[in-house]
Amino acid sequence: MTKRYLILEDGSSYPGEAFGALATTTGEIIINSNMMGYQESITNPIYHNQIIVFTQPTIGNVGINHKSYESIVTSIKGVITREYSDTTLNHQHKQSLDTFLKQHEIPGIEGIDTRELAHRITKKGTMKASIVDVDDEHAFDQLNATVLTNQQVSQVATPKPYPNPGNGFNIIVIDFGLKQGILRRLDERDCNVVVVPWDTSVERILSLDPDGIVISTGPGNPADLPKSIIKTIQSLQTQFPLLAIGLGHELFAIANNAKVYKLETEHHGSNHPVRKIITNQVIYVSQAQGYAVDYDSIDRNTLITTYIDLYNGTVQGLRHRDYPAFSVQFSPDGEPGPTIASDIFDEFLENIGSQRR
Amino acid sequence: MINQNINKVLIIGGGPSKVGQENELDAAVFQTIVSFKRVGVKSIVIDDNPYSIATTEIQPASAYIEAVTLDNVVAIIQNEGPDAILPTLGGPNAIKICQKLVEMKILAKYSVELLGLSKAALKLIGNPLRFSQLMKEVQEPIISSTIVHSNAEAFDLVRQVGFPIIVKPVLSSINSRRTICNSFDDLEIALSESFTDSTLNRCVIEKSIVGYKELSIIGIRDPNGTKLIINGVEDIDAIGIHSGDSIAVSPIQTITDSVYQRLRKATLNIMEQLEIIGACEVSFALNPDNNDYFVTKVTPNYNRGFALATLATGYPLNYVTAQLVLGNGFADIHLPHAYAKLTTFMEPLMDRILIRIPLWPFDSLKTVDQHLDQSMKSIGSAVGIGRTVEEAILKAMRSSQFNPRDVLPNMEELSDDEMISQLIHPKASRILVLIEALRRNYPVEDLSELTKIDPFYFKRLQKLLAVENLVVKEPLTEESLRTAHRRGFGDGMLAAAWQTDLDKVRYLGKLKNSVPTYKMIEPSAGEEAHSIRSFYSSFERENESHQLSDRSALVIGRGGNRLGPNSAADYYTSEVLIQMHRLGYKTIIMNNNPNSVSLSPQLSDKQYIEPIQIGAILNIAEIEKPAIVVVPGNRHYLVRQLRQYPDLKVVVLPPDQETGVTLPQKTSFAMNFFVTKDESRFINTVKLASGKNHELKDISHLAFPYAIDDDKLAGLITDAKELISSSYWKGLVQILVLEDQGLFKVVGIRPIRIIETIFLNRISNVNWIKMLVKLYTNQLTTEDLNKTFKNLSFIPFAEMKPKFPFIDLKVDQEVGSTNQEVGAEINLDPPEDE
Repeated sequence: MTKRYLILEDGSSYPGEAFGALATTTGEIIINSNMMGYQESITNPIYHNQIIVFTQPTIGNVGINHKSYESIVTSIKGVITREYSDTTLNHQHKQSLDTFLKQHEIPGIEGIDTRELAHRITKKGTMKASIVDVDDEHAFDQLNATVLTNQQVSQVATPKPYPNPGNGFNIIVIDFGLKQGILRRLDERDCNVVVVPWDTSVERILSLDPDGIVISTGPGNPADLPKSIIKTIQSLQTQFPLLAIGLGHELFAIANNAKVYKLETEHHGSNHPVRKIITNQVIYVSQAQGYAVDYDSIDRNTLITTYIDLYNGTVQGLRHRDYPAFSVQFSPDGEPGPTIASDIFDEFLENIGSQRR
Repeated sequence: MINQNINKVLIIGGGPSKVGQENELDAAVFQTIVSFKRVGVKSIVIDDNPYSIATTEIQPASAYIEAVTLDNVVAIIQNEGPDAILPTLGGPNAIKICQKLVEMKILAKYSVELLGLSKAALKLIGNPLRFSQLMKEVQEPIISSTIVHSNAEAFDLVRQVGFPIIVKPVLSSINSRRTICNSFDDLEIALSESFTDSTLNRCVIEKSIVGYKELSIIGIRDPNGTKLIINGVEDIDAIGIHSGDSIAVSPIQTITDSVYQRLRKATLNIMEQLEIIGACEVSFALNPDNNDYFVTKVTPNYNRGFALATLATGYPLNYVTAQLVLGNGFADIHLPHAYAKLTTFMEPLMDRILIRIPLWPFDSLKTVDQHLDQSMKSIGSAVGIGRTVEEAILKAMRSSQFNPRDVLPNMEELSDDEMISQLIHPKASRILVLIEALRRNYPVEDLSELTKIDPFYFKRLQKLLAVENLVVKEPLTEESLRTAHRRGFGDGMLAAAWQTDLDKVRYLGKLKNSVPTYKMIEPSAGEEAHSIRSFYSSFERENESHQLSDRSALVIGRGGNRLGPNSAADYYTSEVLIQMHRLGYKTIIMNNNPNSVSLSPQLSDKQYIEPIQIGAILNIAEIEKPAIVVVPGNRHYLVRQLRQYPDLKVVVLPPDQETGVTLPQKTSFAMNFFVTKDESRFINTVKLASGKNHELKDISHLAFPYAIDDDKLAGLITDAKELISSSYWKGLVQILVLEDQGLFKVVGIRPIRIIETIFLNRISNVNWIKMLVKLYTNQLTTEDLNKTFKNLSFIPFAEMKPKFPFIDLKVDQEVGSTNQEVGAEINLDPPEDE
């Protein structure tokens, strides 16, 4: 057992035992309270450059399986858990989480009081953290001196377009850090999908002859992206049915003159009641957000709020009054978490269908 | 919103405890009454379980101490005219009664609303046909059985469903022959046997799911249709062993999120279809090879699973459900201040692991077939809660040891043949056999194949063995102490392994700062600010439990249920908590029985879910510094250990009977006294009867009154007082008298035992547990005593009979002894012929 440390910007240090890679890394630390699905979270591109603390007490239980990837490239900066539990390998999981993390150069620390960490981070908000061999002054100096990049999207999004053929509608997915759950849901609906880079121009998208547009999830602050993206969305929403998810939802809101703010307490879990306003139905969905759309900034002549988080009051969904364009903050594909909201993809395809009629 | 038409609800109680039903139903009824009361709704309860806190704490006029039968329920409906009836907390019997009430249109006739179950859900219970219809409606898979008439038909069917399958004869002359077949050769033999057995020459063929994972999920739904999941439970043992006899884990550990989401969705769909208001448990069998699943059971009424869910998550399930059945939605419910906002509405999260180990009655019932199979044989269980699976397993093992001695379990004496046999055909000591097999270096894959237990759990046990090795190899080092603590080893265990005394281990712990940190059992994984006072220990960084009060009483709960007067002891413990609280103490309960009533959050100011072991008690005492430590019931070993710590003011109630009692072989009746240091006062006489010839050890049947001539009684009282004054007993003291051909003789003395104290409470207008608690805390004044005895009165008639588990456990025995009781019933109606 190798002793290593998680150190935080606030000066605290947590000794624990290493698993995964022995790399030294720095990132933003966040709490993930999903009770299952560590593989989905670890491979979700929205966690690019972040260190994930799992409140579920043990991870590794079911190894790594080929059906639970959210991306091929995994770029988180670390995994913190109370306990790493391995198991024997079988045809369903041919790789252990430990091996997987080693292959991807991601360090993990186990044996940490993650409940205390959850208390701390819930109280103090997100902060910088490092996983290091020695928790000396030098390590803290390094941590404090590190400036985290705000170029996350360009680092995780695909640099080149690629297709996922199907026989149905032609959907262009703009990748800001796409999680594969979205592709799986479109695939289940037999869509012909082309994934394009985040900075693809409107002209290029038009040349692909889309039936509908999906603006994907992604990491980071929407304000860090160039204004041209906003212009692209403003143009596309007038021409095609559009579905925006996660970071995409935030960009869609900005494109329609709403404001986005950083949450004091980020939320990465699936236990909040979310109300679908039109039906009054309350559902539980997979949420992972550090930013939210400012409810008061929404121009009610342009946008309708469709979903609201009953716990923290955050806007969870928007719809354009004039165009068949809508968005959700949460992940309607689940992975990890409930899949009850996957009917949003049907709604999107219905929009396309009625547009074509 | 609350349904304004409901002001009075009849709650059907669970009746006497039995196999598969301890005090959890009573705890649920009690908590429901509290919740109803909060919104001004009156409860009426029918129950003949003498050990019911619900019928004790409710207004006496609202408690019907009667057998839970259709006739009695109908009579109460006619008498009381309740607005609604709640059948979900009374077990299968209450459901059956309610099904009849609906069939006979009695509810309609008296305009009594059915609460907690839709008509569809009510019909579903105990009706396999309705179950398969429901599953068809929601398009969820079940194990279907098909009747075949010929070999050809059977072979065709099996080609479709695949092996293994089970063949059963229809209307067999031989009881329940079930043959598992893995090949067409097996099938041919089984068919020829079964067709011969069947009086109709037909067989049932169904897919065998033996070896599948057994999982259950509990959800809750409000009248607005909002549904959330409370928790999931995974049985470590695969299907083939009754779920009640399996070691259970919450949350679910060995399936992926995508598989879990399918089960979650199925659970919610079923609840929607049944229009459940309140909680519902759905059980699944999951094929671990391909993740195909079947729904095996839907339980819309309260059972052990609901009690476990509450303890595991900290979600106030009973309180919330009571509000939901009255018409409130999740958002309308006002919880006590200890809960963070919107707790009712948030899906519970767990940052801890709970493991439940069943307890079997084989020590008290030597003739039972000890092999675990599809019928439940355990009569209790104990839980361990920890931050890791290993820690929870070990704490559950420590909690489930009847004898509170801490010893590293070992099964060296088991031969390899016997071990393999027990791996395949498990017995009660299952977990110890698994550990022993690993000790002998059986490969995990092979063990998993033999037992159908997920390799994940063997890996955890291996980790525990590695810690054990370290402990043995490096006695009294910081490294081994710290590692052992973090994996759930108790100080007593370490002291035994290191052949040193407990204090030395504890001293080392303090020196090296390896001391427990208590974690709150709350449903948000640390994300919300709760101030719930329910804790378990871990050895980590942050301690969340602090001294409750400088005047607190630490009450040591009974732990897992066993045969013998255990449900009575749990009731007694609850009464002690209530009375201590009323006397101004802040009460702290320590227990690990998920089905106990004494862990109801309304009964104490603080709860610790811990093994009942001296080390764990001392750790809690260190934080709480209790003014008094109360040990309800006779636990000689534990009490002796506690008395070694003079700082702990230990009170044993009833007083420890290890020495100083005179017990005759036979006795006819008892005279009860209340004894203070100054005087002894006569309370009453109670008839003691047993199945066998007045043998004291078999006595468990109590009756009141016991008529005796006044003169003779006066003489006996004088004799009795003399005997009492020469003993050192205080409080409730019992003099045993033998009647022989009209002659009476004082033959014994002892403190009044738990079941007889409860009986005394039930038949008189005095709470004798309160009197005892007052006496032992020096708060009983002479005026109190005078007043009590001046106003002392008795009901005209009562008898209390034990319940034995012989039929459930297929034991050929009719008369049982006290230590074989599983529960009791009380009857207050005088016999007709008097």
